Amino acid sequence: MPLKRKILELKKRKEEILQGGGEKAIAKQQAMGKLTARERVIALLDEDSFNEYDLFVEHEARDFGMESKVLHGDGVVIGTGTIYGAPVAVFAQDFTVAGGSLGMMHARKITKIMDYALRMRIPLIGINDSGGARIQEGVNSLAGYGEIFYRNTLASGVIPQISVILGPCAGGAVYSPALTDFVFVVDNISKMFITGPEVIKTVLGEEISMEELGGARVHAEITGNAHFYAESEMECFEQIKKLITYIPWNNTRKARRFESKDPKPQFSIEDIVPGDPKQPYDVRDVIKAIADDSDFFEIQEYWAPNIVIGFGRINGDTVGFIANQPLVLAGVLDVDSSDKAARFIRYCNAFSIPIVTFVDLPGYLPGIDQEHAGVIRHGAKLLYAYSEASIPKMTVILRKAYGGGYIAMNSRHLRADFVFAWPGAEIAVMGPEGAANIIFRKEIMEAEDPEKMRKQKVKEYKQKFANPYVAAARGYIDTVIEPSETRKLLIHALEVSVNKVSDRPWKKHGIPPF
Amino acid sequence: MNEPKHEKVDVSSKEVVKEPKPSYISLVVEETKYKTLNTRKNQLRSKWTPPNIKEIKSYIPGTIIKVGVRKGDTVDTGDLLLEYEAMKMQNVVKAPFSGTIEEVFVKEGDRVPKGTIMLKYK
Repeated sequence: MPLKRKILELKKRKEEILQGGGEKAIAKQQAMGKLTARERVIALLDEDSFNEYDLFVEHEARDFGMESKVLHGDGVVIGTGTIYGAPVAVFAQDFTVAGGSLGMMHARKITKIMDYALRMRIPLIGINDSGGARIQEGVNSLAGYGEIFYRNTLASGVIPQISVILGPCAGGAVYSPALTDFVFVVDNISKMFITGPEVIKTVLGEEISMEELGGARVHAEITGNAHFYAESEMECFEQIKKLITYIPWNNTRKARRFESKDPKPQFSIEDIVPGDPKQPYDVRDVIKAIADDSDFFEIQEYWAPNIVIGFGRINGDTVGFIANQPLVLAGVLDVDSSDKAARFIRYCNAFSIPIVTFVDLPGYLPGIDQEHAGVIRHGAKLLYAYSEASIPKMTVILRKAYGGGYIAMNSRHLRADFVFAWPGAEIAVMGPEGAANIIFRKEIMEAEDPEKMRKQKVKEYKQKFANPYVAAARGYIDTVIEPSETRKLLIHALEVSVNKVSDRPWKKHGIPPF
Repeated sequence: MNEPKHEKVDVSSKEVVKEPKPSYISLVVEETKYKTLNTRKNQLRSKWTPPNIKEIKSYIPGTIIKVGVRKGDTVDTGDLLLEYEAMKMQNVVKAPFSGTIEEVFVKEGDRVPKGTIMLKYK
């Protein structure tokens, strides 16, 4: 056979495989408002940059009539490409082929591209859209999941791992995304749960829809499993592309440097924070008043919004911002917000991204449910993560910094490299009301007018201790600054921290309060 | 390398819960009242009630396969109260202490969700 005919044959074979599960299945996928696996990869990557591998892979199942079934590419697309020129490895489950179910060869394709990503030290993006384990392939399918989880763990902290949930992702399958760095969900499309509505109905007698049980909103707002929420697949891809611009290819490189841009003038830094510590404001405006071009890329925006985390740039370099949010629940620390910030700190530390922390919090959320949910253990994660992080760590105390909350929010004592305080900062063992009631209990009780005495004592305490100068006198903060100086000082602090050395005792690893 | 055009994409400015006007609550932390917004999850927090040791509750959901006592029976510690099947296991519920059964709320074949009061001591 001449080569030309062989080329024609190759083209024919490819054409057939690229149809995935066929017209009918594709029409069904479209009816659900979903793109196909290859459409997704192409939409996500730079134009003409995608190269697909293993498209001729076939399954080896021989039971339950599987021997006669042809599953194109075994229900998953793998390959490499670029995003804004940065190389990435990608896999995308193809729901049109046997419901994207995971059989042995399907799993081998995924682990192949994972191995490739790890070897080449490039980010891995996994698009999940699968009915779960391929039951006909039995324990081989389970083995496949195990191999994926192992590689997720191995690659964790070495290369960025991104999971995109664009369909069902149920049972054991959810644990691969859960092991990765960032999970993206899309409204009405993403569904994640361990046990589905049917099992719950049979076992518990409780009825709930898939959307209410494990839809995008649930994971973006209630569970915190998702980091980014979008209303459409295209919006989701834009979010992923944007994320890629902030993070390095791997843990030995630095994130890409951009041209420095001043913050936008509408974020006037001196007009954002009210003087009265009881009044709310949106701390994201402070971040936008400091970040390059006022660009702040928020992570987990809807979950535990009492703490704000996300990426931005200062003088062209990526930094991780962490800030208490007085607008929501007064910015308290609680189970979820501690968990959220602690994980983000570990991400930044693993990928050499300096952290800038803005502090304004009244303390911890009081409540029986908080105590019983383990606020001790979860709160400890934050202390652990800040103490452990060896990347440059800057703190700006905007207003309140009381008690345990002050310590937890990257204080000097946990080895912040620089701690700046605004003149309105109140660094104290607790809020003036609480402190006065304890210290002056006797005087207040014995006074003729206890209420008047209480107010007077609160005022006294405020004047004496609700300021940054007591902490500054001990060197716990480095200096008190005008809000307008913040950006300039942070730029300088980051510049002088470039070669930071952080000596630690040798250990295999610590035992964080997981 | 192409210069990223990401600056034009503003992906962080929507809200899941669209509220027409911010409705502030006051939250007390260490005797200070703060004006702030609430979250859905915080609103869903359930109020804690102390456990009543006289009530025998199902600790996992399941199906009653045997009821060993009737109303008015006196039981000793360790006596069989009931058996129920849950998560493919037959769970035996024994009397945690001796006393008189005030009421039995379940019968054989009943399906009980987690936390159901199955019987009660006097």
